[in-house]
Amino acid sequence: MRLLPREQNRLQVFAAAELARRRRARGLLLSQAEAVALITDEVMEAARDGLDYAAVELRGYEILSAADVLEDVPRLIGRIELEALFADGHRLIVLHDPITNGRPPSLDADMAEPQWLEDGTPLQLANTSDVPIALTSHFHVFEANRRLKFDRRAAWGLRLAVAPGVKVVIEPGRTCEVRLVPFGGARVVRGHGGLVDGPLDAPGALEAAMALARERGYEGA
Amino acid sequence: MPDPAAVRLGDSDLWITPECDVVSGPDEIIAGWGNTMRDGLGVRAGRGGVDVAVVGGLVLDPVLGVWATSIGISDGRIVCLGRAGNPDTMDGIGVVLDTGTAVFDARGLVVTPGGIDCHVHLLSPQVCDAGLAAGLTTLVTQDFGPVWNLGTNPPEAEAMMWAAFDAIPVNLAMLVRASSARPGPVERALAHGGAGLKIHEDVGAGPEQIRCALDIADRHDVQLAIHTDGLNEALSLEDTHAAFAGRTVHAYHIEGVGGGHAPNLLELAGRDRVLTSSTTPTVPFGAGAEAEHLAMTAAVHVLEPGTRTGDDEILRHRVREWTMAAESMLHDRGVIHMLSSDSQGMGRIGEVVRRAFQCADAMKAQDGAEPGPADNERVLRYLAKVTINPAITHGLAADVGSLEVGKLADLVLWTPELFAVRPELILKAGMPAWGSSGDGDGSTMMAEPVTVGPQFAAIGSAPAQTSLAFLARASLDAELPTRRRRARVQGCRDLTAADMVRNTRTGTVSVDAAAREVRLDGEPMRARPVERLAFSGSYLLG
Repeated sequence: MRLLPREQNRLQVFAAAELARRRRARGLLLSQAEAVALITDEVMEAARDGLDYAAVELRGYEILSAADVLEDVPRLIGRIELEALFADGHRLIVLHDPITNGRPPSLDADMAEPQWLEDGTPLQLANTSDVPIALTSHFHVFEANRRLKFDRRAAWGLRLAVAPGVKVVIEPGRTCEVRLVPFGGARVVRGHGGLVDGPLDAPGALEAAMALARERGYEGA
Repeated sequence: MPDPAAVRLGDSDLWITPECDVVSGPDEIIAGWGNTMRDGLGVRAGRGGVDVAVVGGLVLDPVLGVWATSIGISDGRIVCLGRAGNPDTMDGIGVVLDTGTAVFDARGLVVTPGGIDCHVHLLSPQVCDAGLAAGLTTLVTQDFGPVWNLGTNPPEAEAMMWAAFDAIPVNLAMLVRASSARPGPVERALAHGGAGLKIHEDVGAGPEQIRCALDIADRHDVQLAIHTDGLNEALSLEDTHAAFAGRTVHAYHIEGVGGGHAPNLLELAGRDRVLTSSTTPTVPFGAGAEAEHLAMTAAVHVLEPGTRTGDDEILRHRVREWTMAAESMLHDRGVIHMLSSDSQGMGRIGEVVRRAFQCADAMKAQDGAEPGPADNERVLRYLAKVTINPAITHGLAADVGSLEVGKLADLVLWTPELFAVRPELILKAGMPAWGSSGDGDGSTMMAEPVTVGPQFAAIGSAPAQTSLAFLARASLDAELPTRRRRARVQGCRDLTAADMVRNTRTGTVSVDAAAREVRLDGEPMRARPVERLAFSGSYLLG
């Protein structure tokens, strides 16, 4: 057979899943490892049977319910990642709480309006470019993409008042009102858009950065 | 009032909650696309930062307590704890990230110090894999393969083990056999790579061996681990205690089924200068413990019950359900200080950490919750038994046993759901040594089958780079075939029960064989057999 490591791993999944199947057939409720093995094995076989990606993914949520496993097991199994061999090759399937959830999570959740952590300073931003521009929590807004049009001077030393990890996406041609808060710490900005590279509160820092922004064609500078 | 910050450990009823949180908030460090771990944002270019940061975890440490905090590591040592980030743009930063800092994302994970097993029979190299996979990073050992040597002797064997262990990412402290009425062979072994002493009745635990060993221990500032005279052939319990002559010892498997004065070894517990440990199979007390130990004791200690005269009797005296039932409660009261394995020699190395928390859960189920916050105190008491207390007892605490600043960065990261059963990642000196990972051909690092196995610090010459050689002063400069950094064993001789972190209770333990009863200061100690063992059947294939 000249089995590859991946194929040996497949057999390890099978062996654990087969143990789980036999125990289930004896009427036993499954443990964490048994449940993960069984779900993984069945999903891999669904792809082997020729089902398409969406059908195989959905299958992962239908194999076990809370009634099939020991009391705590649904909570103990968070995410299962596995790779099934489809007609077009290996494809990653990610199952999210597959015993608790009946189907894959939707990508269309309504998360349009960011939650502002505090009122802060309001500012209007207009995306004058032809690509979406995303701003994040700790970026110095003053130095954001030169094709964003806004009162640059008003954004000096400020960042978005959103939780870390939140992105505010401004589509091409659209305008967006954001809320800004000042940087903390020593208030030294390095990197970002390359307009400051030093202490925000140094004498003349703002005027020097404004001059550089104008020179480089930043809208609103 | 339910505590929204409380975290449940595995399938147990143990909950921990941070006493302080310097992780969450508007400046939290998040790795990944569009998140805060970028240059100029949560990370700064130059002007200093730590080498390695473990960011955003819930630290569970026997000395520091429960604290949502990041950890900074440089040169393999913990150098700071606090909020991680960029002090140029963020307030209150204690762990400075620069663009050269390697960041381990521990958000959502529980971070404990690496476990210490202070009773390891190294009867096979497989013992080490099992220990690493259970979150152990320091081993206090005897033996060097399938030989019941009860110490690591002679110097040739010690040299062989130091050479072998340069490939194994654990800190190693080898005990040498001290069952010897004369010091010569013992001191010779101690000076050739030893870290402490072991007396075992299978090779002699009489008054001359005890006196000689403690004289050596005092001269070299090392600990004596002792398995006492279970036959009461040369000594009874009080004679053994008298032979200690007020000098500190570490009494192994203090319940007694692992060996030692029958039936009353437990009476050594609660005494000021007797530091005590249990082994895994009797903790927490379970319904099958007695039956298992009849089989196990005979198998390990070369008995022939039913065939050879006397073997039945000594076995029956040694295996006592009623002292096993007392042991778990003495742990909960903080009278017994440590938990260890007795690996392949009547115990299971992969269960050291797990059994500690199983006992904590069983005792909560039996006796109820202690005053809050959450179960922090109880959880920390049991964590201390498998981390800081064995470190202090064996003179290793300057380097390991907790996450205090200055110590080697041996950390275990756990998902709360799989806590004490399946570690997520084990860092040795800040480098990944062991952990969970998936199929190597996968498009992510967690494609099933996810298994717990070696990471890069376990490969090539990395183990020697990330692991310490614990050595008695006498062998610190010995010629040894190891490239490890050497750490001196010290501070072993003036220890008392008061030095045992979160397990300081002393008292009178009385063992009444006629009544089959153990009492602590008059109070009966008899745990119910555990009804629902946490961290076990909900997880394991077998």
